[in-house]
Amino acid sequence: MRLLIVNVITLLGFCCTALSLYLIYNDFNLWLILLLVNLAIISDFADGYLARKIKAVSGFGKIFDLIHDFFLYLILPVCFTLLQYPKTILLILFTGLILSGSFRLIRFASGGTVVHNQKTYWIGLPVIYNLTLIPLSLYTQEVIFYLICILVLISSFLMPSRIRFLKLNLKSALFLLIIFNFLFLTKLWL
Amino acid sequence: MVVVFLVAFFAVVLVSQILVARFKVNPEISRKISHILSCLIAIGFYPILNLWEVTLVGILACILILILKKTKKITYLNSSTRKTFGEYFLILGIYWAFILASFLSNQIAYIFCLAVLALADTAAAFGGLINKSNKTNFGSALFFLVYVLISLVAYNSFQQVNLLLLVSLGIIVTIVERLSVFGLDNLLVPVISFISFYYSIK
Repeated sequence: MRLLIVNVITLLGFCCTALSLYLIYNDFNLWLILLLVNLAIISDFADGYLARKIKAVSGFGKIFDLIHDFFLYLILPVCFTLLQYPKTILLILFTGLILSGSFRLIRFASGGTVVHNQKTYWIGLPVIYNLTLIPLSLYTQEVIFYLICILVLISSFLMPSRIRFLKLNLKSALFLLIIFNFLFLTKLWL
Repeated sequence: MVVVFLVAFFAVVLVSQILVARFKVNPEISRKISHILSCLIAIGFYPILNLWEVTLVGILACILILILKKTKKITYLNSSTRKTFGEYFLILGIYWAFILASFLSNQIAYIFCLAVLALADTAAAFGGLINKSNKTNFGSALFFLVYVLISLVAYNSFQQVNLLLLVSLGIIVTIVERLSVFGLDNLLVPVISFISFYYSIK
């Protein structure tokens, strides 16, 4: 039963991700996309947190979450940005991002964390930071295009690297979510 | 059409399982047969499905594989002794090749990279099976040979074949295939094949 609750949360998040991908390709309703992406991120945090809290961690749940992460943090931002900037150079850069992101996710699945001085660190940049591409790509100035290219290059290098990044706690995750929404909403309101 | 493709993929899984359970075919051979059949089905994506529909097929196929692996009813999916995410990366490899083909409007490159994934990768696996090991020199040699043969056919319809270019690309893709772990070759091989083919015919 406990496992079921956690997996249903992941499934709900997956549905939100799939729906936002549908909207990106078809309707392009930015408000709805924003809402669904937020729900997907919240469900992603909630299922992991709840699974550890009620001791409902399973192999199935881990892989399910991994596939969800792949679509939410790699495919979604990449497809969103590509539709805003359909340029070949970006397509090539994104191919590198997908490859390094996949490697990062596999390493995460096989225990990609270390504990040092009672603090938990992720090895390599977490894939969640790729979400910043979504609000950035809404700003269609040329300088933003170059910024996106640089960000993609840096992210592609950092994700499979051995560099340690402090694991996000609830507060910092919330902070990240606020920045994401702020960038998105600023563009929508302007 | 999404349902049709999903049913087709499920049928491939069932056929491979029947081969293992009823005809006692080696599970590794059955896996490779399902790879070839999946790639053949995926070739039909390009003119028929749009980006969103292929995304949906990708998501649902990943969930289907995950459930089938969990229930352990399809034994050949759990037969591999090494830790691999090859099934998922096969789906993602095909998906990303489709994205590249759609944005760059190049169907031939899409068919080429799926042919490499289906035939060259399978040849490498069979080479490994003969020596009862995962990655062998013989398997890599077979991969290289099949890659060059497919390239010869594909490039021949475009331009005068530059053998040195084909051999160089073959060596690069073979090295990538040999070094990949956790089944990542299913994602790396089609992507690298696509990009190398696209830029060499330009």
